[in-house]
Amino acid sequence: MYLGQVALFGFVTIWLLGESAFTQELDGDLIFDDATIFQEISSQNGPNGPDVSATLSFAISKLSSATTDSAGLNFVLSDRYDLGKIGFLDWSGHIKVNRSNAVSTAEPAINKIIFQNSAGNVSWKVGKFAIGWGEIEGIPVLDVLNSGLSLGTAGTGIDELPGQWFASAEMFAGETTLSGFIGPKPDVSHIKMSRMGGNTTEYGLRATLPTSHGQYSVYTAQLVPQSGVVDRVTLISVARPYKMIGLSAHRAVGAALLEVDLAYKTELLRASALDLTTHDRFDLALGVEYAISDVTQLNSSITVEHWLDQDTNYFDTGLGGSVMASQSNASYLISLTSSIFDGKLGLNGYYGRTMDASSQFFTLGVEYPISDNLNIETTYRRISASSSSTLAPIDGTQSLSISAEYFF
Amino acid sequence: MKLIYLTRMLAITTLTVIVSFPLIALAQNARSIMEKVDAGSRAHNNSAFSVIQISTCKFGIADGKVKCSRKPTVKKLESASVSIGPEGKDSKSIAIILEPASERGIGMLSYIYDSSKKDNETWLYLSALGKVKRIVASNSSGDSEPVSIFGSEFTTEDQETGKLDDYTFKLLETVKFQGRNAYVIEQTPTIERTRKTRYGRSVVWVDTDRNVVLKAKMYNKREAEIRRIISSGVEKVNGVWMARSTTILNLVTNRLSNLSIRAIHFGMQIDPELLSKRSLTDTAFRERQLNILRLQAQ
Repeated sequence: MYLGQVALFGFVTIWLLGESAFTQELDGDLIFDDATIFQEISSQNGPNGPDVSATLSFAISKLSSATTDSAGLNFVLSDRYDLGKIGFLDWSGHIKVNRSNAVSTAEPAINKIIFQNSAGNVSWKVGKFAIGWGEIEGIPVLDVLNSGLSLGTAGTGIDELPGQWFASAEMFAGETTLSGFIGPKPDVSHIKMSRMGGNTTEYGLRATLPTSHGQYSVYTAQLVPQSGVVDRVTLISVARPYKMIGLSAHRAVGAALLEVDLAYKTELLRASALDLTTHDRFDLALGVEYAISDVTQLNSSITVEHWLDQDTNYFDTGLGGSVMASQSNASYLISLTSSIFDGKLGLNGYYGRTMDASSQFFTLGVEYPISDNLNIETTYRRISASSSSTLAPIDGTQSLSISAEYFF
Repeated sequence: MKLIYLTRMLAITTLTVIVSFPLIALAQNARSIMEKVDAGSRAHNNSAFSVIQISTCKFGIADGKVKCSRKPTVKKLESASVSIGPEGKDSKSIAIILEPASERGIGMLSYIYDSSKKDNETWLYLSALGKVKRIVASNSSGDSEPVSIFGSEFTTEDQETGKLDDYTFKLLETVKFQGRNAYVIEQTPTIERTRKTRYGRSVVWVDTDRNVVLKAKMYNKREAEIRRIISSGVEKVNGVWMARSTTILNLVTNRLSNLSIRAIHFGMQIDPELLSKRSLTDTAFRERQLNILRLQAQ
């Protein structure tokens, strides 16, 4: 529990830093000296150019007796251009230098590049960007178009989440929207040698309509799974397109937002002992976002996947090998975010667990803005998994990271 | 995790709403005074197009004046709003960042309802997630976060209109304040509202003739003053008195934000589509609509 103790010490230290500045008395009728601000304005708006931020981070991770430490420096650049009648161009990218266990790597990448324009009631976008489907962010019932938007990316800087190459269009009629996309180059993660099968172009349609207290959307799409399925005979990871229809809705009830995502997916690959076969599955996620107060929010969601047939044994393959796959899987995720000391400290905690208790994770984070330009953040994570989980090889992993982000 | 940070950064609403503070301020007398203040604030929302500047800095106090002790960050915004609903007491508004260039185009759409029974709606476009997201309402202002307005000290709770039923009001005294006669009114949230607000109570100074809030002190539930609002530059615009400069002091962090109305135009022909979710995602459409309003303003 060494890392847990270090994390607790860090949180308490930061808490006390916030507490020391908590109260201040101001007496008398103060007048604001407008000139102090307006004198500064003329010097504020310098030459335009890319927006730049830099993040220096250090992380230590412990798994069993092995300890891994890593340090990184990440520059994020972004900018946008008005091209007149041609439209608008918006991009962001990063250059990340990382050193882990005495091995250094450098990684430049474009996170997004968007060309956007519109005419009449139709708007279109072309480039590398994210498309968010469904009401519950990061839950792979309907939010399955982008790589990286999963529970595994908890803690990833939102600006660093990679986009995918898409062309998309939206047609507007008041608050009703019809949108569609085509994605020629889907990102798929593989843990083994990989092979793509069939026509891997993704495309889909969504219609969104308002209701008196919320909205609902219907979906239809051909998609490529976000990760491949490993054939137990050839040990090749395969990704083939599947079809999906879906429904999502949200409704505001006082301080709560109730959300539902429902999907029926056909032609999904599963691995039996002998080969890969296609199957159908229902996915359902129910979510609640509840504002406990004006500074504290509780989010929770339950996700269920149910295969329509289970006529033999099927397997999921992870880093540590294969495990038996159930016909139904369920998990839940609870998160709490809060701001204390009148906004001086941001706290967040996440807990996720599968219903069969085969795996669970926990994260606790603290954000402390030192100034308008400098923000520090520390996060503690712990993962537990039983032998029946594909996450078994990382059972007991604890990590503690601290980062300082500077906005130039 | 970052989603919350982003929404905190993005939260904003229109200038005319912002300058209205927690306006809800002796029983019926106090209530009727605050109704007039509220009506004045709502009048600013009716077919209005404005250019706003929000400056934020660490502050110090010298010779009874609050001054920036460090170079302020400055954001320039455009905002459009229309009054809707019964008696025009509800409003739709959108606010978009003009400067700095790196944040240009970031915006927030707000539907604000007068009734305490109807939650306000706040919509943001989260580009990294590729979706327009409704922000859950924790208070009647419709945003769940500490709701920094574009990273400033203004919060959505400090800017709401309507919902007077969420408070009880008490006229404490009438005083001279900066050469003006002012009512000093205490506003206390109802039990229901107390669960949602960070403020235990507020005290506001209201100009007796012009029904404009000149000063406000907000206390937390432990009776410590945590925020203060100072207004200046009170002018009559379009028949309604308004403060051109509003400063909020965060007494915890020693940061202040000043909101300055650089320009405001009433009676604008605003396409209802501009005040829809489309404007959050369709940059080209939004800019065309804003260009039309800029021309009208000239």
